[in-house]
Amino acid sequence: MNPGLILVKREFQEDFKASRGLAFLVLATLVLSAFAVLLVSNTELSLLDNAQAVYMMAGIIIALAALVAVVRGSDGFAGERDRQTLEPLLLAPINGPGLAAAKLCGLLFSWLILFILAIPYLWAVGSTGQNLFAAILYLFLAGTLIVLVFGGAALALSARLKTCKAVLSLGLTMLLLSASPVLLGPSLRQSAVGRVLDLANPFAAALNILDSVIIDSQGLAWQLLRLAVMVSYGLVILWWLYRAIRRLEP
Amino acid sequence: MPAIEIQELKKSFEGQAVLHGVSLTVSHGDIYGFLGPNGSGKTTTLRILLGIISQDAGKIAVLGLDPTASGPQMRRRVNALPESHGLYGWMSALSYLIFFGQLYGMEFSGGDYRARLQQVGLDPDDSRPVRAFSRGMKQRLGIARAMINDPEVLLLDEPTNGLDPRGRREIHDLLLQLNRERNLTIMISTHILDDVERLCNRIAILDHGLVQYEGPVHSEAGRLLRYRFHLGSGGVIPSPWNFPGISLLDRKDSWITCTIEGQSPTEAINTLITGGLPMVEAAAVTEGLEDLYLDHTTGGAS
Repeated sequence: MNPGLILVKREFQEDFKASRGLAFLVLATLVLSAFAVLLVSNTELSLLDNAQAVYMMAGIIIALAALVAVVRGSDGFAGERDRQTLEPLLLAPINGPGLAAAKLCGLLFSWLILFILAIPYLWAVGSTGQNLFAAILYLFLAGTLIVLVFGGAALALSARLKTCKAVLSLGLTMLLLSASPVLLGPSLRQSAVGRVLDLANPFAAALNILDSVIIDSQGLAWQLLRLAVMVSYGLVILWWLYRAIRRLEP
Repeated sequence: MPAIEIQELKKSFEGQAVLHGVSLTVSHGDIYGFLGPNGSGKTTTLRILLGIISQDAGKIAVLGLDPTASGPQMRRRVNALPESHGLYGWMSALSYLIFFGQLYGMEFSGGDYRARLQQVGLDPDDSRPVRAFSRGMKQRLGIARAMINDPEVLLLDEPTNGLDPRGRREIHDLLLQLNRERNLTIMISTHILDDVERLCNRIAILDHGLVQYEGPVHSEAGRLLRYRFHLGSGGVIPSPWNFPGISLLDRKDSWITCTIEGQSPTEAINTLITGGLPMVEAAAVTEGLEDLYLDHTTGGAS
């Protein structure tokens, strides 16, 4: 088996066997359960319509995916360096890009687990509403791109910075800055500055895709520009990661 | 072709020079001691040899390969035990070894992995996670990992650090066995002289980023330091000591240790016998490893 695949397998095993992986699963379940209960209660009280509840649940899952990507990405190399497990990996006959690809696949596996975990919750809050299948489909697409962008950036930082704490601080700051335009009020978001921030921001792009698909029932054609923005970010991040990994040191 | 050849190796970190031009040669089948105080550049040299950091200047060949240009290719034939174990605490010893075996593309059966654990004195049926292991057990597992690709060259960074005397002795025996049975070339970075005296046939002493000494551990032409004389059971040392050119350094049981100046050893022995000391035996004390180490190091990081 290819060394990269062996590493991916280990990353996958770590999600289920290591205490950190198990803690992540428990935490994700608790967060999803709490929000699902809140949203279902709101729907029952007719405070939210069904599509809005699904959209909010999907948004929470995207936010959780980005958070997990940053946390696990920060741990990718810097965490291994902190735990002194990086050096034996660097001794193995696998090159830097192979190592980075394996780590990135590990992040995507974590996302896949979160996504599978989230499907029943999405169904619970939106089983009687519209666009549930489209919501699930676009959630997977947008979530995968978000994990690539934020996880890849965290991995690149992790390859360059010495400690996991430093990477985590920087990664979370990056995530907060990226998510901040989403907090702008509706009128400000409609202004020129707001539109640029909305368009040039992968996090906002992901939420706008979900909004467009779930609330407005718009098709793929409406999402192409937003998807292109996210893919562009993804490609830039991958190039950055490729550059960072070439100077990876124990 | 030597197993390892380093010429004028230089490396700086953030403008601070760590290696100033290290040169050394390790032959096939050697157990080579790489000595030096903390911060002298030993670990940096090993990491450059393994191709996981690059040098600023100098030439390196490990089994004839340049670690920078042919890193993955070279690392199929070379392995190392870093100072830290680098073990995944949640894995069992067997699954850890299988993971690295697969990573190196080794086509071993389950029985092969079990045999390798047994070879380093670990129980393959021990299903405890590695984090529950003692330091000695972790070190053994680290060695089993470092041997997983049947390397021709093994680099060890402080392999017995933190082990008790029994654990240290067991690691010594294991390394000697591997060297004997497989003609494995071993380079050991350490400042524990007992390791070197037990294991190594050649050494380099590194200090302030330069090799201050390279040669055999037990030099036949070791520098003469002092003489020891056996006085026999009836020997009484005169007090005060009054033998010009012969200084008394120490007395233990019926042995005295002296330095001699301005006369030959024979003349000194005659002087002592004439002075009433019944001489039974005389021995020259040459420079030991500790003296060699202390003479060539100043104890500070560069």
